[in-house]
Amino acid sequence: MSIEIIKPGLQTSIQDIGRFGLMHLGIAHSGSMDPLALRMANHLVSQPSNNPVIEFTQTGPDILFNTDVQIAITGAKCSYRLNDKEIAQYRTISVRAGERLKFNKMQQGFRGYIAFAGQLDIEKQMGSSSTHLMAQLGGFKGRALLAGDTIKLNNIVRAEEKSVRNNFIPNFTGNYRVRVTAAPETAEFSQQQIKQFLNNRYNVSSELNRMGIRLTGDVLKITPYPEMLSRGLLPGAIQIPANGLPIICGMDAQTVGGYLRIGQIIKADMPIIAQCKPNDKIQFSLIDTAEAKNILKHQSKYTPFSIGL
Amino acid sequence: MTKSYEDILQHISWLENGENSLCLIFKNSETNRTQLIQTTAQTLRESKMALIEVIPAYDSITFVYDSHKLASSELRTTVEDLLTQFKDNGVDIKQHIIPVCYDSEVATDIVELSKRLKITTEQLIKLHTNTTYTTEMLGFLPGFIYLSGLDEKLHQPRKTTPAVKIPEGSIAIGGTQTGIYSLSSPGGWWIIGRTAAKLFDANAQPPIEIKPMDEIVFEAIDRATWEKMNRL
Repeated sequence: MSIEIIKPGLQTSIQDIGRFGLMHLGIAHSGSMDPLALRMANHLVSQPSNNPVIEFTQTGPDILFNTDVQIAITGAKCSYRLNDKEIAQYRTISVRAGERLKFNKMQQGFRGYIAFAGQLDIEKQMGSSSTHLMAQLGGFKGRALLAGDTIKLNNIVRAEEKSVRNNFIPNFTGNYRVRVTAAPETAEFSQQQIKQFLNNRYNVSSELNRMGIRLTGDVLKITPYPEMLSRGLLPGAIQIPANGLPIICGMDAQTVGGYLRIGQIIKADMPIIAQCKPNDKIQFSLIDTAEAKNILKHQSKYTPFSIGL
Repeated sequence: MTKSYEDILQHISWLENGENSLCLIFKNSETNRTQLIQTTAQTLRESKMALIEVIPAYDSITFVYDSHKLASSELRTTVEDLLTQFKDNGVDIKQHIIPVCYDSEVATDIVELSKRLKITTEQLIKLHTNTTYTTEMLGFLPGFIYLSGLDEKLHQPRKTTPAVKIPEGSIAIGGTQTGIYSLSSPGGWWIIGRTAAKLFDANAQPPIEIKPMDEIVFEAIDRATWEKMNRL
């Protein structure tokens, strides 16, 4: 009852919903970069939304199954084959022992998720199975998966076959509008600087990982740059360091930071951040907290896969 | 000396930080600020309130709360009540001695920083080791400790563009702060030394031995000693 990684893909790791209540010790939230895709994947295999899944980046893993089990692939739009037969995403797929799941190509987005109708045998560390790569914490030996890794699957169940309705399947065009609310230091920026930030069409640079995404574009001149004492920092925060180019904080981001934050990305739009790849374009809009809450409520109402607060 | 915190509310401000987070800023750098912040944060963490994260820092506490169970107004009132009733009862403080190698071949920014500060690297090392620092907070990364007490002559703004990789065990200076990068990570501070001390162990209880308000002293060691300690 196990799966074996034949090819690991670019950066493949075990993730769940993440860690809570440990940021004061410097332990990042960690967990799935795309919480919505995590929930959808687990829903399709009748597992609780926090069940650990495989998260892959840009290139997915090839997996040999040593057991019959149902799986589901969500997140980025990609082409996957099961024993050379193309399979669909966003639906329950039955895999037989001896079959090989083969990654073909990424079509849209950046991160995909593979969930199983059973439990990957991953011990929780500090409250979660999520791999915090930089801290070498949690997941499979605290690291990204490598060829030859074998992970046991426990408690395999027979899930009712399901699929996600087409209009709920996200479309990752690479050209995004991302909504932000004010961050604690937003008031330190001038109206002109905020206008410039909102008017800019930023480019996603190639410096991106689970910790953060650096953007390029028009430089926001902040002179002199104020020295600020480091403060608590949440995933989705947009920092503007002295070079004037935004850094978006990811799920593995540092827990405190000393660069001014111009905005905080709303939770409903965090899946977009997970799917950003180099050269994608982002433009930000500023909304208030009440509206952000409504958007999230709406997302919860119309999809059974809310990422919740 | 008992200090009154009745007027504390005039020196704080609450800032929004997204759908379910507030950041409380302490505007005055009163002598007991670290203790006020750390004690309040701990009390709240141990309370039954629907708080997801309570992140204390130098001049702030960031709260993440379950907005289905807790209104932001209720959070504010509870925290403000706690602050006005705060009593400085003293805390149990430990001192930790951290061996540091300041050799410029491994402390990659020490030469550049000395130049910018217009002092010699020897003077820099002396100024850095001559102080007993206070742990202001933990954070950034597991085991990263933020220290106060850095000599004014060593203050230097963070790098304009953060470095993509700072090696594990780097002792660094950023603005008015000094600290230790417990893990290899990106960062905007100047690397002035390296230590072989392991500050974080996920499987130990507690994973981090140094607590906020503990004292830290840096002790200069040579490159050979550092390398020997690294092999242990």
